[in-house]
Amino acid sequence: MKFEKETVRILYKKLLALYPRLFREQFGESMEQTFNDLYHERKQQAGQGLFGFVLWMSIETFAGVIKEHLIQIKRGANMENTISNHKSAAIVGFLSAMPLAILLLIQVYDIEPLKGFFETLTTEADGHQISALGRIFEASALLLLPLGFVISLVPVMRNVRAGDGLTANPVNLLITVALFIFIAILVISIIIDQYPCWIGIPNCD
Amino acid sequence: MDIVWRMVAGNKKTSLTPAVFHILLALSSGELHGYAIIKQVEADSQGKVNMGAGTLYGSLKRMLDAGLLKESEKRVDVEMDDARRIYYRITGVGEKALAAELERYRHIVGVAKKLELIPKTFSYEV
Repeated sequence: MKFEKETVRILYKKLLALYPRLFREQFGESMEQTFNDLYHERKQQAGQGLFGFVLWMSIETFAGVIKEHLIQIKRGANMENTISNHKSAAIVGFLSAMPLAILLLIQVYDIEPLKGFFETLTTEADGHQISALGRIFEASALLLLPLGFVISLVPVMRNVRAGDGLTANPVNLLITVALFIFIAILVISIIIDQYPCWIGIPNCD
Repeated sequence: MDIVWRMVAGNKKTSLTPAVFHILLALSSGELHGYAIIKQVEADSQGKVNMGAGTLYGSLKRMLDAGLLKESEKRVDVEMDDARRIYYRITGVGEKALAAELERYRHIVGVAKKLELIPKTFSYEV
């Protein structure tokens, strides 16, 4: 597959836009320049074989985006900024649903080898019991969902209070509604699944 | 306080991350810009460490915050193109952190040598 430099450059620039604002302002230009340098070098060396390089750089940079947002959240100082900025609230809201969505997609559509990999990682040696790591995965993915919902809801609520209407930031509204539906489906599924146990039906699991 | 700075400030049990260590090592021989750091790290590690822009600039940010590095002025790399680039240079704190990490490695190699875990062809002298 042949990648046109300009297209790749634009896509990478869009990826850099996901970084927290302060980080982007400080390093965005340099990162783009470094990416262009590396791309140019690989193109001279490999000619056509650039797909692997672009994929690796994109994954590596995306991991950096998540890491920088997590560091900001961990520090706490910028949490308020994340919520007050409707763009970062939308991004954090969207990203917070990803772990659970990916886990569910892998489970429902039997996506191998990812399904096998996760099962090995999250089950005990006997292959039946969920391991401690598996429980941490599940709990984290579940907890991220309402957290993302609240973060994406805040700018929407602020718009409503300010009299700007529900659709002042349509992307935030869309993500908030999508997260609400996701949470509702999840809760209803759990109730349907566990209800027989609650009413005392034996061997309900 | 940043985790890197805590290490530098006196928590001797905490080691530098591999990325921070390699960046300090690369900058110990002079000021470099981002791409040149990546190439220097690759050369220093004999191609075993391939650092991407995400890892590099994330580490640079924390190292700048911790005072291990300083931004040098923007200038043109005549060997590459006419774009202006930010150069980074190691600070005194960075040099101390690198020296402490190298000392830690020297000690580990010494222990490994005593335990005869190092191949005879390995010529590192403790």
